[in-house]
Amino acid sequence: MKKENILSLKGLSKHFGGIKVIEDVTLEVTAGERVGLIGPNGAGKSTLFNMIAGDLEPSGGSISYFADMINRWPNYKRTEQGIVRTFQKNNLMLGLTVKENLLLVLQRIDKKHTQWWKTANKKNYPSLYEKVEKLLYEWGLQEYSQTKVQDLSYGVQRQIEIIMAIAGNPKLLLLDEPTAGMSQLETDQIISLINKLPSEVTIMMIEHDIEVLFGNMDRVIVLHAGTLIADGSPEEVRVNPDVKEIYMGKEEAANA
Amino acid sequence: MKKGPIKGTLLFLLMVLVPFFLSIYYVNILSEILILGVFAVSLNILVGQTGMVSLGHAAFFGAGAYATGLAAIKFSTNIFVTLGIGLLFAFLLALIIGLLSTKAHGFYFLMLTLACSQIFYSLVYQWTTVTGGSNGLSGIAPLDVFGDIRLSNQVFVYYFILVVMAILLFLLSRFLHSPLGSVFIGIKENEERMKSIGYNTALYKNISFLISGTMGGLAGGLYVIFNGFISPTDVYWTASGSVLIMVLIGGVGTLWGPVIGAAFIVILETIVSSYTENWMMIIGTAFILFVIFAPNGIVGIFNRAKRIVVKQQKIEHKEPNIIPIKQQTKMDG
Repeated sequence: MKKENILSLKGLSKHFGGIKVIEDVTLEVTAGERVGLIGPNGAGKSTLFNMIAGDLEPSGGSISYFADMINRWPNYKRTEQGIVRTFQKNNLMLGLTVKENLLLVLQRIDKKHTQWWKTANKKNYPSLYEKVEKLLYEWGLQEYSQTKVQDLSYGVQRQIEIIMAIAGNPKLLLLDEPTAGMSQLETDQIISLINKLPSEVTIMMIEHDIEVLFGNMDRVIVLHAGTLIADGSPEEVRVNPDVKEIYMGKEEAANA
Repeated sequence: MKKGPIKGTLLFLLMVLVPFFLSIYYVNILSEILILGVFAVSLNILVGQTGMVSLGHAAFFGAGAYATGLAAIKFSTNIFVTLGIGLLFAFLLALIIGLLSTKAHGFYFLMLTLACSQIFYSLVYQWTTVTGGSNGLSGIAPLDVFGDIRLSNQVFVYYFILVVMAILLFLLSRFLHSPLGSVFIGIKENEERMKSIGYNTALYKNISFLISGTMGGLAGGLYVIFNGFISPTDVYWTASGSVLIMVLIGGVGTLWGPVIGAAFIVILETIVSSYTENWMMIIGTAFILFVIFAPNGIVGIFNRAKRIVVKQQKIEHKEPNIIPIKQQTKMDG
């Protein structure tokens, strides 16, 4: 039986003035799929993510999430409904501690965020604080719990960026270069934790490290100059002549 | 954690005793500090907690003051009814100005609040039949609290203001560190990220604006009860500026900072203005010095001093721990 589509893009485009950053992209993602997104710099990968997450309005086409047309949904509503993203550049509450950052995510999930009459601490909100501690334990970040995010290294900030998305109960998780600027060790750690996510979570991941994608994704999509040029299993994409041409140049591709 | 309420209660008791020892002159100064303290605390919710710097807060002070004053003259002599009307008007004004100005960010937000408050100022100034125009609104008689109790002298007014302030600070101390309070802080830190973790930030900014504006109206209502008079100068944008200075000098985003800032300004004004007419110059200089050398305000200076003291104590405690290690290395050698 075919699984239902979690996301379908139909003729999606984004133009900045005369520049066509995304041009007529149509694709469907089924629930639970793990999709990698690659393409050279400026191919429009992040722009595509911005439109799916609601941070950019499309110039044309439609975005459907399950059965709903979500073009007009603001970004926070998409997040509430399960489309959660990370950013290419760390985008955190720098002046707050790691714990406070995570609490902001989890208190909304637990619907505690409108309470104003109780001090937020472990005594008043035991389950909320236990969840945060569990997350920090899983990621081995307990020691940074009370540290302000601005005082942490780039790599740790990057992990928090990803934890915040995962903590947000995603149905569709959009990871924008999650391992950018990280060491091999940190990259492996992040990938293994992403692989441990429940299988019903759909993941779309932009990644420059092709080995990471080919090893861990069910499906790879290649964008080039705003258009979709290849879409298939990692093996199919690896041998696709158009993809080879983009990544290796015309003659080398012919020789290979 | 538990020291806060005890200190607060002690301070409250001390403030209760003040009228028994000091003359009415000082009691009046304290009343003024408390009223401006409420005003500064209300602005701090917006500036310190949500990160929205407003230069139009006097409009809410004015709305609360004029509505309370007019209600006292025309409808009722009960303090809760009149203050309630003042709060309602400030709330409605905050609703309108909030919906207009929270759409803008940073500098543009500041300019919009300034423009809105100046519109309100000219309304007050020109609607002479209702507000008394440039003559202000006078003839506000002392109000009743319960039955026979009337705020007939300044000491009673002082106590009333003190109780209101205590209740307000108690509520705020809970709110500041509550889940909702942390949403406001999150918006101050990074509004875009708050949106992408699922918060409708426009809604929360409006809520913050409403709370802040309504509380500003409360300060205005208290002022008119205390003073028996309100004039358009209290609604002018310079009043918005001076309350902003109180917040900044006291300590942005702290519970007590704005109150301390209000006390600092009122006391400085009282002392300096008895020597020279140019007291504004002194306050201006103080402000510049604070912004450059103590951007976290008076509370920031206290905290830094406390940290230095605590550190020294810690070092003293550590010394005995170091000695055994030295002995050990000697033994090894």
